Amino acid sequence: MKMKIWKTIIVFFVFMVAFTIVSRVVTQLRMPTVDVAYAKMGAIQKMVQEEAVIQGSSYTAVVTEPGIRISEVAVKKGSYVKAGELLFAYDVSHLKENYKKIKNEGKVYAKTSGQIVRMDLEVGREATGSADVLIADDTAGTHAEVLVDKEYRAYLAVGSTVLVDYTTELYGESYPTTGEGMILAIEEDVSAECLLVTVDLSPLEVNIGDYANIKVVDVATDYTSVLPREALRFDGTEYFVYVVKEKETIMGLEHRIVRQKVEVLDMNDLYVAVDNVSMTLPIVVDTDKPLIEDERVRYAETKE
Amino acid sequence: MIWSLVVWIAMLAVCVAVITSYVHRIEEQQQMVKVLLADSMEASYVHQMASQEKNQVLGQEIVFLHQDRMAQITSPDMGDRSVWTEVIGLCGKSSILFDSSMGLEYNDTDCCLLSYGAAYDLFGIEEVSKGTLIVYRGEKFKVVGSIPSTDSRMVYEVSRDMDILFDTAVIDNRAEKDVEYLLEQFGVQWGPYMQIR
Repeated sequence: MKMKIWKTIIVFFVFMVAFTIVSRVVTQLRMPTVDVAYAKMGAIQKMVQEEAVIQGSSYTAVVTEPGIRISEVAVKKGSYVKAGELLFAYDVSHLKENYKKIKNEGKVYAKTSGQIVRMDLEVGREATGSADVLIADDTAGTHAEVLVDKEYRAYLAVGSTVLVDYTTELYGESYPTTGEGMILAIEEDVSAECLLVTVDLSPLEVNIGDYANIKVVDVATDYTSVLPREALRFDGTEYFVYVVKEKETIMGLEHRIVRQKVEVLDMNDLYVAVDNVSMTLPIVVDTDKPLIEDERVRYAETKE
Repeated sequence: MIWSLVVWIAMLAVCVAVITSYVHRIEEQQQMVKVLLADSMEASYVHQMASQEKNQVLGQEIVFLHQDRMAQITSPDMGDRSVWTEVIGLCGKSSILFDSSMGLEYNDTDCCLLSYGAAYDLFGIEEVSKGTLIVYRGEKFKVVGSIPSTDSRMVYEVSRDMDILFDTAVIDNRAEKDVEYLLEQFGVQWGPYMQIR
């Protein structure tokens, strides 16, 4: 009888242990896997880089006489002219002698020097009567306009220099060149939530109508606690991170998720600067399942 | 012996209950009719039609929708972090289509629902508090509720001014005859077939 009781007890405990092991294995398999990172000292870099069309600062329009055929076009779009150079000529052979608007035997000369940014005339076709030729005055300088999000307002100042990437031509070949432009004006547009930044490109040998890549903002600020952006979470009222805390239990070491409120100091596309985070705490940056506070988790194989 | 029988009967009862509930859900879903519209309708037109007295069914039995299977939504609170998600624009009551913690009504035009999946991708948490802002196509929407689904999805009410074309109508709990009657009230030309979900 005594033997039977002992046997029952042993079988009971064997089953208990077996079920506990099975339960632990199942729980372990269902447990979210997390990748963690540690807060580090670092810099948050802000860079706004936009492509913009290079524009002339002053233009002279040549308005043509409508309906008169063009017999010669002496310049093309992009070319430079000096004041007094021939632009185009009307075909005056069929015009009546008393057509007083056409002078110089139909020839039209540039009144200012500069770059031809529009040339809508073709030999054999009639002029439209509008500004078919447009000359950008090269003595008035060049500029470009860039739209920048208002959040970068603090980094912009009239008179500050910005880096400009553009192409220059030498012996018919194009070469990438970097130079400095200067912020001429910053206009706020409330409806568009953007700033219109005008950059003076006059000191640079740029071609009107080309594209320039302008680094409007390029600053880096140092912080003591920087995390990957993926670590930051927001519930609609406060920012927080999930910290993995270790806890020694009777079943061994457990890792549990603890929510920790943080204050965001700065962020860019990749990193966020926060306060109130120790550099020794593992912070969750990625997980295979949504996390719940105080949930047990396991580390992914590559723990940083 | 008796206990074993009791356990068996209890397990059988649980199985029957689960199957009955599942069948009931399927039946409920089948009562929703999805109609592909022959001609897309502009948001302003649907709003105009809905404002007519005879078309007060919008908000009760019929909802028009536009589905953007892959769109970018952003959060100003997360430094304009953006995620790709399915975005569904509605004109009508959202509860016809989705179970959510709080439904959208016909005139909730600056509000949206966010699924657990979309909220987790964007904010790192499945449920965000009401009033959190989402930006889609340059328009701001306040989150008013959650859709308990891990699929990434945002649902919003389309305003009269938005450049959105509705290409689908969903009608709640209607027989085919009534569906046609409802669509006729909106002057809608429907497609050659109807999908019963």
